[in-house]
Amino acid sequence: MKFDSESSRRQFLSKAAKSFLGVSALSGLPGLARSAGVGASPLKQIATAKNVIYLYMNGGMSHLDTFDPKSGGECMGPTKQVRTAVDGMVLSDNLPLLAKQAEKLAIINSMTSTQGAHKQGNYFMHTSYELRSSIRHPAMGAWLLKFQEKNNPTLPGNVMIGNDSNHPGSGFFESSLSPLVIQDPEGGLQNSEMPRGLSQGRFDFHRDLAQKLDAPFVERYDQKNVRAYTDMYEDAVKLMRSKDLAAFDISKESDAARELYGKNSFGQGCLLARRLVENGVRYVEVSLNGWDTHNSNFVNVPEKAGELDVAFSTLLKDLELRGMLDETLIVLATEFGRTPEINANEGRDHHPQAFSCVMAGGGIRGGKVYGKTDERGSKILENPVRVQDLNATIGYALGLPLDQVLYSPSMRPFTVADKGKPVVGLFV
Amino acid sequence: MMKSRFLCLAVIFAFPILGTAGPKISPEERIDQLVVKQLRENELKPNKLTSDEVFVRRIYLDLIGRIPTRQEAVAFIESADAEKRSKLIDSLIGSDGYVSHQYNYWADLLRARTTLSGNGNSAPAGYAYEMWLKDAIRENKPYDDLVYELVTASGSTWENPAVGYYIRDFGMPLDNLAITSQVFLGTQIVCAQCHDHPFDEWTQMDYYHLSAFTYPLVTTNGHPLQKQALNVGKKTNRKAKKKGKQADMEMTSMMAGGNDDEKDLKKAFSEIFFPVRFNNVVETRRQLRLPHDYQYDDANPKDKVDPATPFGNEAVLSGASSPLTAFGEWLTSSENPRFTKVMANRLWKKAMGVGVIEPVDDFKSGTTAHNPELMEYLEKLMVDLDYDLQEFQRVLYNTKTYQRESNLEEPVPGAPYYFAGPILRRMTAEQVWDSIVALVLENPDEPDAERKLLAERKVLTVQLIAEAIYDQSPRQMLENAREVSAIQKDLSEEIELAQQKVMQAREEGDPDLIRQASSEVKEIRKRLANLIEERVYREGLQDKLSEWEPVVFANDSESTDLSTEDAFLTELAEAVLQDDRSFDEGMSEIVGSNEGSGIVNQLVDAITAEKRDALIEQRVQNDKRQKRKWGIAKDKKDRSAYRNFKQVSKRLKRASEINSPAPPGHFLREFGQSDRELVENASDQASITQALAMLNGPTLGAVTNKYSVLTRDMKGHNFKDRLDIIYMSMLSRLPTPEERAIFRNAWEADPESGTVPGIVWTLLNTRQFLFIQ
Repeated sequence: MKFDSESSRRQFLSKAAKSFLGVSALSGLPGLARSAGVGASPLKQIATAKNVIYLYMNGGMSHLDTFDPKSGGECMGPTKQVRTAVDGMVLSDNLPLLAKQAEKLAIINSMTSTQGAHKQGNYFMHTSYELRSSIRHPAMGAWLLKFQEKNNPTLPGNVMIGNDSNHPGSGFFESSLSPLVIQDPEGGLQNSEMPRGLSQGRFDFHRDLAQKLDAPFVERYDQKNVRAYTDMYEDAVKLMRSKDLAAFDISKESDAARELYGKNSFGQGCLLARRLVENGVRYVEVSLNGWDTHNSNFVNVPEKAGELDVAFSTLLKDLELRGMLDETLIVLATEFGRTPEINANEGRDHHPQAFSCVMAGGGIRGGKVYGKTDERGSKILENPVRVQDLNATIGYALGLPLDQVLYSPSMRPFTVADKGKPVVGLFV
Repeated sequence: MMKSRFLCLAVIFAFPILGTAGPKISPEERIDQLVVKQLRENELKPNKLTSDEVFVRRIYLDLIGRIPTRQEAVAFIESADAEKRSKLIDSLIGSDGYVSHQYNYWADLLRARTTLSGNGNSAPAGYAYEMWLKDAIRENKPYDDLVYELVTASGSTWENPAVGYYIRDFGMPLDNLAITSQVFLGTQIVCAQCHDHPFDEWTQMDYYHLSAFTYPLVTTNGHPLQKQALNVGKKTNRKAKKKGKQADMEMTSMMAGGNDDEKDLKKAFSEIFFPVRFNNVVETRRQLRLPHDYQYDDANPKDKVDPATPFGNEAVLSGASSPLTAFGEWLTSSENPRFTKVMANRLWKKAMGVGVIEPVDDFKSGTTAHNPELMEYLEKLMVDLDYDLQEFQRVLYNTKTYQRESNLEEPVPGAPYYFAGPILRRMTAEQVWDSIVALVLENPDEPDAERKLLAERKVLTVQLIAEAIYDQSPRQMLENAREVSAIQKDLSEEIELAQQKVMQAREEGDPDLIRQASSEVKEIRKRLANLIEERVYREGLQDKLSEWEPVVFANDSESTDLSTEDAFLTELAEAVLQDDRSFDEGMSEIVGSNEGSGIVNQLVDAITAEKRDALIEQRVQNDKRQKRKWGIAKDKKDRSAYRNFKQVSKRLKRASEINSPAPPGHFLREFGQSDRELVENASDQASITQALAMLNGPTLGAVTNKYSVLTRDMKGHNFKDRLDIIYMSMLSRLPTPEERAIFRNAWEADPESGTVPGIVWTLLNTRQFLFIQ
């Protein structure tokens, strides 16, 4: 669904609202944005961001040892607080570089999820819906492309840099909206050049031949996954011939730049993300594995946080210097936090009740801490933000119609962020 | 195996099935009846039976994980034997290819990784676990035994590789239990770790009761030697004190360590035991307690929890059995209401593409099958067959239901599927990869002897180190610990200094400095490890090495005796041996990274010398044979092509013989191989990178290499036959008249497009190639 103009979008919204399970969506979310001073309902918001770089901390990032450290007590182990450039904002000593750019960060310390297992939690965070066997929900990148155009017609609109073999992708939407997965950022986009000795003419000739040969099969099995391969081949060829293909090649960056991001998969992934966004890719996810610190939390978290600190802080600076930070929303998310209790293996277990996520750029007002947990980081004391709310905030920044109902092939109604309420306070 | 069995195969035939009167029918017929009955009730018809062409491709892929070779396909299609389908199924089940394919399935289910728990030190356990699983599949270990052995496994990697089941979830007993429940009981209870399950009847208390069975198992190191050594230490300390005299004190202290700081010793122990971490599962008596924030009224936080089962019969905890064996008995009992059903349903899904119950691992209290009679029958069949998975699958693959044409419409998520035929499936990543292997290599199913040896060496390395530690008397151990502690203290200043640098670098926020400082810390740690190896293990291993040394020399002189060969063969042997030197280096490189000292490697080399020499010899012979057969003599071009082929072959090992999971960016991963993080995490979704891999990747070069099976197969055939040969090799059928016409027209338009690589490339990039009809 694409909208050419604001008016056609409004028309659609009013229609969508009527079909909204018989409930008026407009009355369901009264005055939220108005009170925030944006001057618009969250249903008609003007986009503050064009692109998203979504940093996913896979395994459940310990909030206490990163963005919500406490001043002391048993729950902290050896982790300490550091002061930041912003009054009243503290980070853990695992994030010294980010502390220096605190004025760009909006930290949400009152995230809460209902899902305490990895698969379910990861899926929930990416889609706003709980994992069900009967349906596959689209992740946020696919929602974005469903509603809005790609910026670069020859590059994919949605890229995921990392290793998750079971990303929800485009869910029940067409598979062309699912992210292109780059597993190794240093390898970039593999196999993007034609085999040696094959001319473009011959390449096209054989491809055409393959299509003709496949026609009866494709007609006979008119199924989603078969169609998906048709789409993917088309997109692949488009991509091969894109003049912007070099966006995937981080070896084009200076050694100094590559060092600055950290010579590890996540750091190089963040650098690749910047290159891609610069070239018109709209939604890039970069994942950092290894946060499931049931064991040796205080050895493993500093290591992971070290990678994160270097890469995230460089990314912020880099985008800022290039003048891209205002239009690029950076989101740092994870499936859940970790317990204040330190277990027998010097580790922390899953803690979906309260954890932290971070936003920056893309219209977000930095230097802010939203929400608060108790003195052990165990329970939320104020302003809880549900997973749906976080995704609604992303949608809000992108100007997505949060109330617009789209139907799955089985005719079940879904909305981006599942009726979450955007945290509009982060924008002012 | 402690389980007793009451039922046997005969039962199935002795009684009419499910009480139906009339003539006896086979299990296959009964299944077909139950399926057709429900189809009729829903006014649906079963699909037609497949053609032989579709069947042969499907059954090879489903049973041995790859497409049939041209010869295999032709032999089947041309056979006039009325029993040919069941005969083919018989020959495939239990074969090497079957082991490989089933292993991939199990690796996805059990999240079996080569570095088993994600830490490099856990690789030996990972290799051992892999080999154990493959052996279990090969010997067709009954499913209930297999699971029993997994969930009751304790001991060390080298004694009982099944401990891999627990090492996979190192230090996470509660999570491991949730996995056990999901995999073997199809029940997701993980929510109940923190609170009562929101959508099911599970309470948090149920979860803890169940966890209490396996909680006594400890994966972290806890060898009794540590405690014994500490006790010796305490005794000597007390004696020294009793003597009282200052001079004596000093004397004793110098001789025996005197006032040990227990903390220091413990630190030393953990250093000494470091290389054997991730290799031991010890059954202790530790007892599970409720969490501190337990919120329900039936107990208090931190109360002890006794083991109890949530459904089915009570687990029998007699005096003789440990909680663990009681749990194993309960879990794998045919009386357990979910154990049998889950596996019967999973294997049904593996054959048909959809389970009788979906999803296969989220059974809830109200879950029922859409075809309850079928589910009940499959369950009974599994029990009657005594959990013989090969027999069970033999039945499934012999049903008409399986052998029907796949369904044209895809199943609707959440709606019942009535099995008019199997569904259309995209090949798994492993099936795509292994099919390409079969187009290139001869004997594509042959297990990889090199990987097996590598696994043996890995396990042997930790075993030797462990024995060198465990063989020590408590007193020796104490001495060693003191010495290590002293080394640690010596180095501690350096470490502290380096760590201070790290802190300082962090404060300054200079990433360069941070990196530099942390690598310094790592360097010191490495030095520490080397010193420990030198002091602690050398003595124990030196004796062993002297036992082995003669064997090494004897073998070496034999295998390098090539004087009788002619000049060419010598040269060849040299070339191959050179190759094998890198093989050796590759091995020692990997083994060397395993915290093993030089002496450990020497010993491992000595012990495995015979096998390794035999392997090298076998390689040389294979090479000679191949070269002779393929007429590769002195022609430079041929030889360089052959070398190229050898390079390709090295990379093209079967998926089951490659480290699990394959590295990111590998063909297998692009096509959706599981990352092994979550249960059944493989994916069959299309992606741009898959299309790119097929269009531009090295696949084409491998398949059309001069010495690939496909290319050699062309030899002796008329050029006109090339289309037929390629079709039969890749799609297990001849081209249709329409397809011939398409090609004819194409070749008329562009005469140069009819080359073998041209046709192969075209077919590799059809959807037909990727899907199993």
